[in-house]
Amino acid sequence: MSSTIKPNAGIMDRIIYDDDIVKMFIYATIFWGAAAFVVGLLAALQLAFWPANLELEWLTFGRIRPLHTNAAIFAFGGNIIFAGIYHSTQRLLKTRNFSDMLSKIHFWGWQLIIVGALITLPLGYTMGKEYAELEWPLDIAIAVIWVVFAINFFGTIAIRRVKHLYVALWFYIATIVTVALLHIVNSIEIPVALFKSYPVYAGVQDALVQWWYGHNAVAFFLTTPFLGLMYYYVPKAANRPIYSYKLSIIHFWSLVFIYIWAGPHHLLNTALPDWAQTIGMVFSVMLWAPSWGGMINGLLTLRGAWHRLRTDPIIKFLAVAVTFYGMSTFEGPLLSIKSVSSLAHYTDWIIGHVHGGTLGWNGFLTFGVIYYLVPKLWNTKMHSERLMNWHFWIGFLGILLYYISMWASGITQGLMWQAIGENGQLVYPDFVETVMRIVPLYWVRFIGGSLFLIGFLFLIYNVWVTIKHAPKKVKSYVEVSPLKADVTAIGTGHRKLEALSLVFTVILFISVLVGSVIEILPTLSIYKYLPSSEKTEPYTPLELAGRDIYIKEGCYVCHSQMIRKLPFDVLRYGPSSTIAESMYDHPFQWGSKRTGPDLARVGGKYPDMWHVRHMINPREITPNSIMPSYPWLAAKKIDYHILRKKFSVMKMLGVPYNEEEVADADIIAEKEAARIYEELLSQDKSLESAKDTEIIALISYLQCLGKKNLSEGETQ
Amino acid sequence: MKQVALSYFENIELTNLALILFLVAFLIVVVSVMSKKNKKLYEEMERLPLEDEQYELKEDNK
Repeated sequence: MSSTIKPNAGIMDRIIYDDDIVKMFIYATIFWGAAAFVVGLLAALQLAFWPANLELEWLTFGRIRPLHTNAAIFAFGGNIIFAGIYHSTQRLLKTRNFSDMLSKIHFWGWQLIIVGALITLPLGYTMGKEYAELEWPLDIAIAVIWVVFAINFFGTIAIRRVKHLYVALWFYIATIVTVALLHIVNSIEIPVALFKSYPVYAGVQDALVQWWYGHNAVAFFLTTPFLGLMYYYVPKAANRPIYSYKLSIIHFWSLVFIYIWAGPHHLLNTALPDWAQTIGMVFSVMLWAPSWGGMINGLLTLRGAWHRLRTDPIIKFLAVAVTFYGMSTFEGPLLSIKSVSSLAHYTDWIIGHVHGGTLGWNGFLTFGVIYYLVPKLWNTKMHSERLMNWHFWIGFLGILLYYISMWASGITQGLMWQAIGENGQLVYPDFVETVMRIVPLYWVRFIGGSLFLIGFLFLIYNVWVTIKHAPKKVKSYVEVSPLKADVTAIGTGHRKLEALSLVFTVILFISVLVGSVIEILPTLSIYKYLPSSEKTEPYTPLELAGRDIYIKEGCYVCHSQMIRKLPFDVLRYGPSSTIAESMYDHPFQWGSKRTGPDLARVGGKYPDMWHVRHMINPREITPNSIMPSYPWLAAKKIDYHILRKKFSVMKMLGVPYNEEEVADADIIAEKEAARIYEELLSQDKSLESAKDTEIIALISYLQCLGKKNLSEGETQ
Repeated sequence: MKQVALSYFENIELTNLALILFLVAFLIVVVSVMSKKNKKLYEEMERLPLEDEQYELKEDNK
């Protein structure tokens, strides 16, 4: 509770802010930031040089890419958000945080979740949904800790000494409310084992819910809280008020209302119904206006202080961050236009876009805030301004190299995929040709990422020395502020204020709910309307076992299973994917990136032996392939025992299995595996040790892809 | 399939209604934000992040 001492009998109140918690979150930001960048760099290196996984399953791209994204978003991003929120909220409301105990639970709980992610993701425990990979125990932990945070934050609002809520606080409230909604709705899943569960949504439903979540993770985890930080720390650092307070209000309401609708732009030209694609596209384009309003508002705050852009490294970091916010929010709507998306989707352009946002906007804003906060919190000066400048320029150069190489790579590969020759055939029918062309750019990206990391090392050193030389006994900030008359009268005025922030929160909740409900609700009943001629066979037990290995290894990170309704996609991969085909897919595996080719119709395309050889060493089949080798798949045994449980959960989720299939799932799978194994053995005696290994199940799954829809004559 | 499942989304009156509702809501926000009567409040609000500095860094003596 607020520690208020009254030295002077009621005239003045002394409030001691809780800055220890802010310091802890800053340490965590720096620590996890380093981890996130290193893992990202390792992932980037593997794309340029595949053996960089050291042939270890735990370090292979499919498993560490989710670790990188989760660490960057929720560990690095999360911790600086919490640091900034706890620091600025106390000052904006002129009160100590509601509860020190809750703050500590929040801190340690969040760090434990990150450690949980750090252990489970490399081990392959994943939901297979991007940015929501963590399994159900961690999902529950996230929800609990988020509620702790919410109680602490709203509690602080309730005990505040300032009547009105500054706009930064609005952005924090939007974050807390919406992230809770997104996380809970997207994570509804039924457990099979301690670290295995299936989402309740299937196929197109799962796709829509996932990208409603996924896009709004960007919107409400990487945008609104950072905008809140911008609206507080840019005026602080520039020592002048925000350019236009009115604009910030319009920025806020337009953003929270429009953002929530934009998710379907991740699914353009797919099997998602057209109306949903169009809504996603239109609302994404509308985002242009509020985003740029916000950017201009942030930048023009420096009016009359532009010279400090030359002299003050903090201002440099903040101004470039806001500029990158403008860049990525210009590019985002552009990429959401269907025709642009047909070129850019599944390519590195998207990776470039995302990193423009995360490295430029989130990263540089975070660095600016750290450089602002550390001297304030430790009551000293930064050790070296020179190092700050070095950090700025090296990091900035790193981002540019990253961004430009990924633009070049994405547009090159996208155009190569699209190229159709005079005779109406693909100019580059071999997928690997389009990969070889961009490998040099993967090296450029690696260099860019390295520079960004080197810049960050300067920050670590600089902050470390600064704190080391800070005054030994650091005293808490102390503020003496007169109580405002309207707040002292607890019971009347104060109650009214509480009610107002409640009304605000309710209006906000409704405005994010509108878009969510209109998009998601119709999709939940979509399978009822499939014509009865469209029949899809559910997976056999062995196929399901193989599918779970596909998810575990993170194959979806590089391979899509969604042939778009575009001529060049159809030419390359076969008829476009339908809604019916993935109707039993818990979770959907449409993917978002094609580092390798689409697999929606790979079934039957190659013999089983091809897959065995290709999995053990892809280069034996496709010279120059950058896919990692998966020798461990031919060594690890299939877990047949769990299949009954998996089938019963699937049946519960509405997949039409009968009682016997559920009861005998393991036996059916074993028989099927034996059949595939015998056939492989008859071709190659050296495969003796492959009996009952994961590779058999995975082959069974890959061979059924595109074969499950019975209405299509040609794929029977 | 799409037509059956979602035919009501092709109802032109509903989309028009949505357009009008959204536009009106937006205009209400803009007009209320821009109205003169809030001018003083905004001036006070935008000073909030800068005000806390006045009291900061006074040494804790106990």
